[in-house]
Amino acid sequence: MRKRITEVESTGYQVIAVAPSKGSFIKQFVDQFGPFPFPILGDPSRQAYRGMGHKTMPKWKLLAKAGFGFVTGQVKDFIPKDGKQKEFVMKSMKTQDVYIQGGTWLYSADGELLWKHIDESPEDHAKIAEVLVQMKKR
Amino acid sequence: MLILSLEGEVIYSEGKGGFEMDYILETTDPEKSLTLKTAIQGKPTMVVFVRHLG
Repeated sequence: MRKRITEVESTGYQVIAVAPSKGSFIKQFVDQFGPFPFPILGDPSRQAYRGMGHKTMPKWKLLAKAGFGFVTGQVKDFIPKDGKQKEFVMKSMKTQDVYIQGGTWLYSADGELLWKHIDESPEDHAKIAEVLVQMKKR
Repeated sequence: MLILSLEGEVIYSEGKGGFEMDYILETTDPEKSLTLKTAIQGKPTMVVFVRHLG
């Protein structure tokens, strides 16, 4: 997302990220991995996630997927090599809700919902090319 | 008008935008939180809910 922000912004849209984390945790994340060209807001209670229909993947299914991906080499480099970043990721995996799934929502300037994609699984993100097509349609 | 579930979840909110506009979100400033409605600030917006940080 960070790499393609210019393409998104050229459509006139701004970007906001929401994480299932406390604001204080997001600050630590931004200090380690930032800066980011968009704000990251926190929904630690996951009220917005759940209320808007984001899914929670069963623990067994997520672990099975991660194990399969690791064994087959499809999942790699998800732990950073940098010491502090690695420490942060390990802490994140231990303390954050890693089962809740994400999604992408497009709103008009009036706050009217234009389009959405609710992720079914960790790899089921809205493709940025598809999102750009949706943005240009409106 | 705002209708909440027994758990405090926003079910319906009158006015432009959906019910999701009223969820309270935290910022990196502990003194400041905002809703999606506030965050959108009258601009077309892509909101990306991420699985987790890191």
